[in-house]
Amino acid sequence: MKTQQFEEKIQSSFALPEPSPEFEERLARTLRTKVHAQKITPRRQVQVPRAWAYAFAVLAALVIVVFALGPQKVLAQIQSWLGFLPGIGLVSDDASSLRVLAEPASQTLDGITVEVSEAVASSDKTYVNYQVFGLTNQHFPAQESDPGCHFEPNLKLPNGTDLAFENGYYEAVPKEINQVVLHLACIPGTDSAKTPSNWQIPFTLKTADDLVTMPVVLPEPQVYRQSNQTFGEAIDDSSALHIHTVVETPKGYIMTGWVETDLNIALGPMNPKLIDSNGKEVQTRLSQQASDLMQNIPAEHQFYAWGFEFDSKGLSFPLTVSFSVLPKAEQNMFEPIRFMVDLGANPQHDQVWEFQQTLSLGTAQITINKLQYMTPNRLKLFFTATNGLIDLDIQFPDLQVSGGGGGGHSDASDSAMSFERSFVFETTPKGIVEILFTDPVFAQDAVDFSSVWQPATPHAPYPEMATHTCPSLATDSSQSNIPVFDQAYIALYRQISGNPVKYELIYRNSQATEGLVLSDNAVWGSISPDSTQVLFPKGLEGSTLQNLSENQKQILAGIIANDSKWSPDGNYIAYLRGDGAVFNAPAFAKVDGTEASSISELGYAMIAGWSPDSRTIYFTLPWFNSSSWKVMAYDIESDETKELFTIQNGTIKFLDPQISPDGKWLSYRGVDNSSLYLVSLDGETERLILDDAHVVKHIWLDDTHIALSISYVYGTYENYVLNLDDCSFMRLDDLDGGLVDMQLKN
Amino acid sequence: MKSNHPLDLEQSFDQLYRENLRPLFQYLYSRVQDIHLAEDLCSQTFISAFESLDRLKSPDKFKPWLFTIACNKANDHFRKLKRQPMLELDENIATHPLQEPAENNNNKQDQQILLEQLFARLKPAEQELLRLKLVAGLTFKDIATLLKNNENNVKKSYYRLLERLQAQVEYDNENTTI
Repeated sequence: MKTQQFEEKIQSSFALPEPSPEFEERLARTLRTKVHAQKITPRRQVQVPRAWAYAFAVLAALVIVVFALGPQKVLAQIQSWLGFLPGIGLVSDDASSLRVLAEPASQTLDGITVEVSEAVASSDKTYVNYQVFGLTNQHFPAQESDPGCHFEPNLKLPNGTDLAFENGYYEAVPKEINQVVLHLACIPGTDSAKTPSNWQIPFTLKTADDLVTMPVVLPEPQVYRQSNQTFGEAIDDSSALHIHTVVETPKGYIMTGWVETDLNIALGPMNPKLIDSNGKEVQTRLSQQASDLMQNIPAEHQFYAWGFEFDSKGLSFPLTVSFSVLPKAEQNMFEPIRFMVDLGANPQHDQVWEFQQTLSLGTAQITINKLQYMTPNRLKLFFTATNGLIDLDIQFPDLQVSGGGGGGHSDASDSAMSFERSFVFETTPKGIVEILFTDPVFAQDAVDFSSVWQPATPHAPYPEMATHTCPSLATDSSQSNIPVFDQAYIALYRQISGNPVKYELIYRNSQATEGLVLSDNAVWGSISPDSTQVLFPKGLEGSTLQNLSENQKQILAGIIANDSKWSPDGNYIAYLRGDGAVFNAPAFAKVDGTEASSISELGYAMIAGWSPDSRTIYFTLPWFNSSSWKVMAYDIESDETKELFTIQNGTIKFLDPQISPDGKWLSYRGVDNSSLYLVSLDGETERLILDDAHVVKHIWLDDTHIALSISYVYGTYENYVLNLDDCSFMRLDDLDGGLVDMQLKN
Repeated sequence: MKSNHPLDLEQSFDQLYRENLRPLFQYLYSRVQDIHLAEDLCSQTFISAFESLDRLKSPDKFKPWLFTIACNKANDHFRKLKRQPMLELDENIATHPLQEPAENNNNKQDQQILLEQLFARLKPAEQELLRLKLVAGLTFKDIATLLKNNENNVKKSYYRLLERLQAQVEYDNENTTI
């Protein structure tokens, strides 16, 4: 008997049933909801270089999602929602019948803490958020293929009932029960063998006395289709931009919906535009709240859903909202194209092979620009593609790929798409390597969809600005009216190439007359307090300490000074270290690189700065699964670390914590990746300094002045100095880059 | 226009789901021999997978990664059963002595019964190898990833196992045919 026939006989001996269509559809609906819930749930914090943090923030703006109910059911569902709770979503209960967490509750085992930080119980579901502190890289599975702990948490009631977790919520806790236990068989995602198991955290629910929900506004049925002429005839009559839910926030609205079309969409909805009736373009943002609200869009429209939040003060209604999509072009099969490269017997870290070789894949021209090797076992491939190619598969037939990532972007619809893909291999790639390019995906020109909306009732009165909060600069503010600030030395970074993305680090004074390129590959750096030296990382080798007056360089081997901060006396540097065991753990050393000492083995930290007496280093450590950061103080003389307080509303993307020169305040970026907060070092007083101001980086110059990099468009920066005493701004002229560090001229 | 290329697996969710549902369901059914339980474990597997998607860096590894989760889910199920003595007997099915062929099998082909019995007598690792190849439809490369083994070793083991089974079937055919 031939092997294939024998295999078929074995297969038939299994007598396998087919999955039922009902099961298939039921699970599909559940998963679509799950997939979206996953998108908006903060997960394990990953610290990335600042430039990438910015890039990720922009990428996060491309979201998709939601549906399963017919229009009438949808309307009925919306009408049953009485309000929207940030972090919780839509609720059908009156706020007074909701219960919330009485106080945070936690359990600590083997140095790891799980804390129940938030809970809301409604009549139909229970929301419980927990956060985890104390996890290191060592607690996660070593192999990517190992998903780690995958047990769902559940709630236990005193009578022994278990409440299951599904679609982001637990089953409802009966009204008469207020004592609940959060049970985790293990911490999701971690290696169960390396972390404690069977967590049981009792917590108490209480009546929500001061909980205020945001009202849900029914969308007016004024949806209509509008598309560009090119594809007008190709679009089915049912194609439309639907508005699903609108929630009134204190400052404006959150709006969600989806694109309905028979087009085979390759990418989108994207490029949101909101125009008021006077033709004014309204700034929109994909806030966490908008993402939360998008969860309620029915599952069948998940992949073409959209959502955003906007401020509405001063707008003229109705508003026109539009999105564009890229339809897929007709797909043909193409033979893979092969590309061979000789990496040699012993490729070195950062070794680059440049090609500029163009190959044809179907109608597309693929130009392979460059291949870069990075230890350990990683290759990065840079290439461009023309004629609407937006995706393709890349294979290494002779190598075992264990991971990778990357993406592509285009600056204009008619320009080539630039790609950057990285691959991690099981072993070091060497010798002649074959690369296969297959399965191209082509997109056609963008199609636009629009709808019009206006609220049925006027917005509630807008809140007054809080004391101490400075009005943000308007995006169209006239630069000429703002005085120039030119009394500082500045380190800034500037993009010098797009493919691959590369940044140079520059040192200059604020009059832009004395520029000095410090590095062609760095985005971190710090200027010494006397402005005579700059410290910046030099790849994986260590750091460069550059004397500015004598233009001398000293390499500090092994000190990879990401996020470095000089002590005010100029003798020490605090920085983030990384090796195979930890990633971005706080450390400090003498400025010459000697006496390097670790502060904590916990990773994903950020250095906030020093006390004025150069004795205490302040740093932040993230809670996992939340937006909270612990603020820590380390005494370099006693070698003691104290936990000061927890920031609850900091962004997980790039907190940018900074200690004021007088050592009284800590400033940081808010959870919206845009606002700037101050908190006193006892954790008691918190102030919102700039609300939704697009702040991407800030630096204290003295006790009343903060320099700001503001970015309205990814990759472009406007730099200012804010006077905290009177909220006045001064501009830093012609810097053409993002701030890294600044020191006032004496 | 400024567009971003989505390598994100989530965006090809529908495709991944449709492609993998049938083999995953059938693989789990072959493990637990109960449609409702297989549906339950299948749901749990997909949910766990998509909740952890951000940790899967290589889309190429999706399939072996998904079946790793499925395998763990099935193992968890059997571990739970072991804690329930009443159900522990069920696992002994796999260790029942090989029945004589051609008896009490009027409704089934002899050879199929024989294969079922031969399969039941294989070592768990050998059973798993056959399930992953013939039920889940995984490639040798995927199985190697899942089993953390070398692809060539997996291939050799599989074909040796097939040869052995085939020899046993032929031996039995010869000895039961008059």
